[in-house]
Amino acid sequence: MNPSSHRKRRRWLAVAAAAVAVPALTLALSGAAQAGTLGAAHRTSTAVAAVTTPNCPNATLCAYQNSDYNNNGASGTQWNYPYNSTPHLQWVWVGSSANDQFSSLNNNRAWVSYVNKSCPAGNQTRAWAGGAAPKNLQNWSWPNGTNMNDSISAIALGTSSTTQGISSGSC
Amino acid sequence: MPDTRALLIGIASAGVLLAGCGSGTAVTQAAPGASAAFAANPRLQATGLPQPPPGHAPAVAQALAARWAAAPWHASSADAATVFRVIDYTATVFSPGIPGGFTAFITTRRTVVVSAASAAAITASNAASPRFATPADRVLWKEAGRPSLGQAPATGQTQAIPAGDYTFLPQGRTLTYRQAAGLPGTPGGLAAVILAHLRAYAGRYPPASLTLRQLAYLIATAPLTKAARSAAWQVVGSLPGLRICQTWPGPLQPRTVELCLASADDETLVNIDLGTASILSISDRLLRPSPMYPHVAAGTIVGSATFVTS
Repeated sequence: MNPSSHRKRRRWLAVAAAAVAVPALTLALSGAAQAGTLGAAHRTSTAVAAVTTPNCPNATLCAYQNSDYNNNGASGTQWNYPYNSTPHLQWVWVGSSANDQFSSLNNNRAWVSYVNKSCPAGNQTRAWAGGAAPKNLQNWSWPNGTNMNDSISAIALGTSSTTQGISSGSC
Repeated sequence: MPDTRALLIGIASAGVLLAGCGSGTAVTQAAPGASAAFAANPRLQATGLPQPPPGHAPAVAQALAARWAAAPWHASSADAATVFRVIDYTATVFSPGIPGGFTAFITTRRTVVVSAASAAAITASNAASPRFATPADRVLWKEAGRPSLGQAPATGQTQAIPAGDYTFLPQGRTLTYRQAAGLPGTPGGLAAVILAHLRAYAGRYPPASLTLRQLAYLIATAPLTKAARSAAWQVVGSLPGLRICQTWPGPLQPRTVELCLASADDETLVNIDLGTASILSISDRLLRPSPMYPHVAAGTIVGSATFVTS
């Protein structure tokens, strides 16, 4: 891991710890609860991240059909949600086909982006800090402990580096 | 998008031609430039062996299984790296489900070398100009400021996958090199492993199209034993709903057959060279319009991997 990767990793963890799962329309969790949720969710170490983070336009949440940003095992579809053309602070439905769901993400934005297991959005929500790029969602879980891979039903783009409430939008 | 379909058929046809240039030995040798490596997606000698009948799909898969079971195939050393070359045709979608969303398709040439430690070196290069679902999608892309579609540089770029991370299954838990090389040689045993790797994501009964996709990638890219390769074809033949979508003629009988399997929203297609009992391509076809693919018509191929031998 090069120094840049260390910096990215520290930044990711630091902000992700402050931007953990929030139920729709609510904001705050205690610091202790946040740490606990993060620890439980991130079951597998991702200390080594040698895979090059893929091309993802600026100010865009990019989602990938397969792990490692479609670079591992099989390539696949990339779905981009640019800030300029995606509703803000609203849930956006992302489909239901088993082959069309997300296995890795790149939140190539300065602000927090959100994912929800359901649409209409329920309380199985996770917030990703700006710059977060989980390369394999099988290593992450929802607050209820279920696996996050291929189970995201809605996304939302925040407008702040701290967590915010999200309205129902298209869900 | 008929022109896309024509492109894919053309690529597949090129693969057929390349497949016909075998070495004359029982199975293909490693790809040029990777002489120390084991070539994934091995091919049987095209002549002197019975070809599967052009019957219904399960019979084709079972015949391929029988050919691999009887093949005089000598496995490479246990620690040999495996290498495959593929042309990936993939969708890049902007703002799916949102007014102004658009869909483009990019084509990437990749060479993938996977070590026994399941580390990988992937060299990727752009292989074609982007295509858009409709002319309107191109306009929308321009209006959006021509954002990057995610193409690799034409000159290529290399990516590294750390040891233990490379997976031979597109979805589900990671299946490493050694796990692939150690897969059971029985259909029941192999199916159990594949389903176990999918269970956390797709439940106990994943869509059959997804299972076919997993198996096809395994056959096409993984360092399988002869028994496991035969078992994988047997599992393919047992999938409910498997059918023959299309055949392409050879001099005497069909040389290439396309097996396909549809689920609710999409369909997996696997092109097979019957002469060499190898997979030429794996494709995903959209069966009905989806907000996840703006302006893409039902029946369009939204992704494919075409395996090449040179």
